[in-house]
Amino acid sequence: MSFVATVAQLTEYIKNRLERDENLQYVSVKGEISNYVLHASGHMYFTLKDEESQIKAAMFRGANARLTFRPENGMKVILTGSISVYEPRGEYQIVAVQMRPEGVGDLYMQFEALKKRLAQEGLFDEAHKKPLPAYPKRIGVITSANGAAVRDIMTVAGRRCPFVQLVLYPALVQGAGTEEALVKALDYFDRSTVDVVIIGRGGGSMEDLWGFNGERLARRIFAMQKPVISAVGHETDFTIADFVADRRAPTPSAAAEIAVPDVRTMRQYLDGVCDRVLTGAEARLNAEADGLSDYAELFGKKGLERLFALKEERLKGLTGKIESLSPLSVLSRGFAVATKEGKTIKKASELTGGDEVSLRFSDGEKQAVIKE
Amino acid sequence: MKEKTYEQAMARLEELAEILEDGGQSLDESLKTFAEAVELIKFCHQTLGGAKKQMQILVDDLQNGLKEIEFNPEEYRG
Repeated sequence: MSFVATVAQLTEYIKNRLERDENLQYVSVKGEISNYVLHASGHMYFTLKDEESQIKAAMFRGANARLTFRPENGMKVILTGSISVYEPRGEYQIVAVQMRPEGVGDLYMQFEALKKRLAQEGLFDEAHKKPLPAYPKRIGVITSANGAAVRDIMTVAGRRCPFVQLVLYPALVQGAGTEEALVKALDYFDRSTVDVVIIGRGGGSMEDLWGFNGERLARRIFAMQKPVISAVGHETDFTIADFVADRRAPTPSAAAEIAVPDVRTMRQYLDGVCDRVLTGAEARLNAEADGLSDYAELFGKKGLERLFALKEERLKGLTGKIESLSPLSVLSRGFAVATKEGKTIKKASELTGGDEVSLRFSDGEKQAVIKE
Repeated sequence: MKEKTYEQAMARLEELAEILEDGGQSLDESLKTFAEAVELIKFCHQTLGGAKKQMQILVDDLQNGLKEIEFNPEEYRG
């Protein structure tokens, strides 16, 4: 009679065979996740499958704590782990110690790693970010010559401040050679006379935007002398360029809003300061109303006329007031202003015989000496 | 006179506004301050009224490197 094993014995044999096979230890396998469950214990259980077969899988809490992504059903991943047998259920499984997304996911892992490294080096620090100029005269734009991005920037900038000069350095914004093209453009603008640079493109998938995740580009942006606004259109994800830049804008249009001041706001502000100047000057003149000196000559009609072009209403009021106070009208009635060493003499008692005084008449000055 | 920027002009203008508001200067000085302010206001107004500038695009000039020419987006429709 041949040997008859118990189920336990048979299972134990299978377990030993599998768990001692070096080929089944620390093996890498790729497949798609299904039946994913995250236990309260923190352990992950799922099935890894392809078109023809499937294998049960587990990733325990200690190992899965290190994952930088969230596994989901349908995700294609690469597992590294060892085969073990769970005797009570007669099942074999792969117990994963590492897991990463496959394909695009590989890129994503590289992106995360680069982002972490550059952050540690301080490339994203607020302390290194330059302020943007309040009133730029020239703005460098790095984007594709076709596409909506450049046209959006032109429209927004033209609306806000038509006299700001935009200069476009056309560049590849996706595909091979993108990073190189962008770096070249930055090199050019850093040597040029622009006051700020906008670098970006319209929306796209993560693969489309990939050129803006390059390390060389990141370092070049960091080293720029001129401030850089990054505008890589994507709703939720930031590219590495976005982190390094001095400002990030969610779209090219938003970048133009940030870079270009609104001329209407500028005009209002200027009007405000102009008002203060006029009010201040008016108050100063009022304070001098009693003292008669040369201000009619200094201030004169000519000075007023220049300002008239700027602020008609206020000026009419001001002119009227000046004229009513104007000493010229007083002087032409026969009064003269006496000054000694530049100081206006208001009382006869201030003068003694021999004093040299200047007499100002409505049509000019004469020098006089006091008799007594 | 060294070319000044709008930013510099506005900064100086605000200084002058404050000086006039303080009223601490002599009449002569106040009038000079006012005159300087008028010039700056003129400059700023002229800047704000500046004509619209068309975007320039950099193209390869073969011998001389890059040069700026007027950018017409219609010519570049992908």
